[in-house]
Amino acid sequence: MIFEARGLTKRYGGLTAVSGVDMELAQGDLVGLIGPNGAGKTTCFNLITGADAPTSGTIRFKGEDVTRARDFQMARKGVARTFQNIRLWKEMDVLDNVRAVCRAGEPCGFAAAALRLPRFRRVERAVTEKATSLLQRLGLGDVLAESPGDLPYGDQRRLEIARALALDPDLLLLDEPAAGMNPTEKARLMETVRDLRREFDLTILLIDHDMKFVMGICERIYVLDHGERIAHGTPAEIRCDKKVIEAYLGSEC
Amino acid sequence: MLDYLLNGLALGAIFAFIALGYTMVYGIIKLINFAHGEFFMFGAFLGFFVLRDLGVERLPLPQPLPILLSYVAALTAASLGAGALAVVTERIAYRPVRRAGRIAALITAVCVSLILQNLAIKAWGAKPQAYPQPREWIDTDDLAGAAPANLYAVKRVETTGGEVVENEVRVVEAGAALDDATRARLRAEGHERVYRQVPLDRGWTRGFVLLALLLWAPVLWFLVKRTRMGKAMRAVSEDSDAARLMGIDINRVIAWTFFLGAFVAGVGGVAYCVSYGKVEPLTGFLPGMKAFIAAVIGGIGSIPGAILGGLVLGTAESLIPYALREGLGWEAAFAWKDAIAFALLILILVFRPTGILGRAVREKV
Repeated sequence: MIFEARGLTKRYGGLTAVSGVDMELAQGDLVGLIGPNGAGKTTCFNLITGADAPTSGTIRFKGEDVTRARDFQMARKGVARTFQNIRLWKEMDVLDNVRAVCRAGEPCGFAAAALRLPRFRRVERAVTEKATSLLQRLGLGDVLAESPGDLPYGDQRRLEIARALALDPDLLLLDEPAAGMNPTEKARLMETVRDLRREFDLTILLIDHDMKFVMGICERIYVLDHGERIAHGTPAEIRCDKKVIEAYLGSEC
Repeated sequence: MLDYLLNGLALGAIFAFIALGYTMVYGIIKLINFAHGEFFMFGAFLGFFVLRDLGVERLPLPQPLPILLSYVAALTAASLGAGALAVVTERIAYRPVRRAGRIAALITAVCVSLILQNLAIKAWGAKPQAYPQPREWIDTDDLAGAAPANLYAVKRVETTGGEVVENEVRVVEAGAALDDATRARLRAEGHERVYRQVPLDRGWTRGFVLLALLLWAPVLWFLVKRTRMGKAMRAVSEDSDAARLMGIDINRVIAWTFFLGAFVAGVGGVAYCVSYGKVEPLTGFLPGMKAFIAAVIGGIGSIPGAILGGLVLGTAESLIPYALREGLGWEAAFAWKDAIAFALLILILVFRPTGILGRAVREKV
């Protein structure tokens, strides 16, 4: 198991946002996390990325207990995410958005940069190459110098994915990646996500409200309601699960 | 006129050095760091100690290179010291209140400023101290040959507390001659040594600060625009939560920003005190306020803005009173230069609150 959460619980004052959730991801899994609004999906993401510390429960990632790891540490250990409401740095160009995150090769201190030592140039070149190739891979090779705010919506989503990949993640969390896309774009996104998983050896956990998208792409699905895990299984199993239909899907089966 | 312009630019360059720290820190955590003037003062004091105990006051003259080196040492100590103080201050005072809102941070900054001022008074005394200048030591037997200038005689005296200190007296005013009677008196009074102060040429100090700014501005620009730390700074400035989740250690980035801002303020601190000839615990207050004005004039948060704002303010402070004195015959005009600076701040705030290079920030709805 590359990722394992046991009894994950988060309370905010009197409100229990996530309650005793267990979750397991094996290397290469493509798993969905669904549930009605307020079910605790985003809180789960926040706990997994270290943005929030769980009230109780444990999280293991790549065999290491990371329950208390901070957000930037989780990111460096290889957990990357995209955001439901796009959060790119709009005052930097597309290339810099990715370069700010990229770690390539040896570390380079401020002093080396200030003195423009050869090491600085080497690192800088490596970072630029890596960022450029990631952006090209996601079809953004022509807009390197543009401001992210000027890009079409779909491109902004793909830029977020490129930025997340710059962290060399093992686990990629996608928060509503298909939100606001039309059916053609969604179909293309499915392709992209599958391809990226293979190319970058990713394990992917995604949240989305579009059942066609989630059922179409995920191999397994976790369903949350009121902070609790009410079901877990393959798309086919989930589609016919009584509890899930009651809480979320409505009669679709 | 040219002289006033150059003075103004040199003063402006010093303001710019301090304003950079205000603007960088504001840019990244939206805090007006009122303690920034105290980092500047701390740097000036460190420079003072280096010059007094290791540098120009201890060096035999004439010796251009070691003097230059001792100023370089003073500047280095001042910059590193101010930077270190800024990092410590950020860690113990600002980080704990970072999420408590901007007013809490602002009040903290004012308190930190007062605490640092008072610590400095406790440690180094409230009295202004003469900033060290290069000295030429003269043999007491050879006094007749000394050039008539500021001569100081030194002797060891025991204080009532039993402590032995070096006591200095000015024996000859600038321009006056030293006569045999004075010489005899000095010897009779037990003065062991005599020195002559060699003030730094004003042209040199002016040239130095302008050159330093010219060198530093592109380095800073490069650090912020081109390096990964610079990109991280801009990322934190725009959306620090996203930055954290993208593996950027924002505490480290913020600490570096404080360090860098105070580092350049240290350069300004030594330059300022060398130009004005003295240092005291309140040294940081007025230049700090002026630099804050400069940062606002230029557009707070903008690095080129801070430099431009500093130069504009320094020039205005020098040329406007000059024009008022020459044009209107108002002799007291220079006494009003601080008022001119603050009036400029009010005008900017009324007519262009975002400053010269600042951009209007649209509030997110």
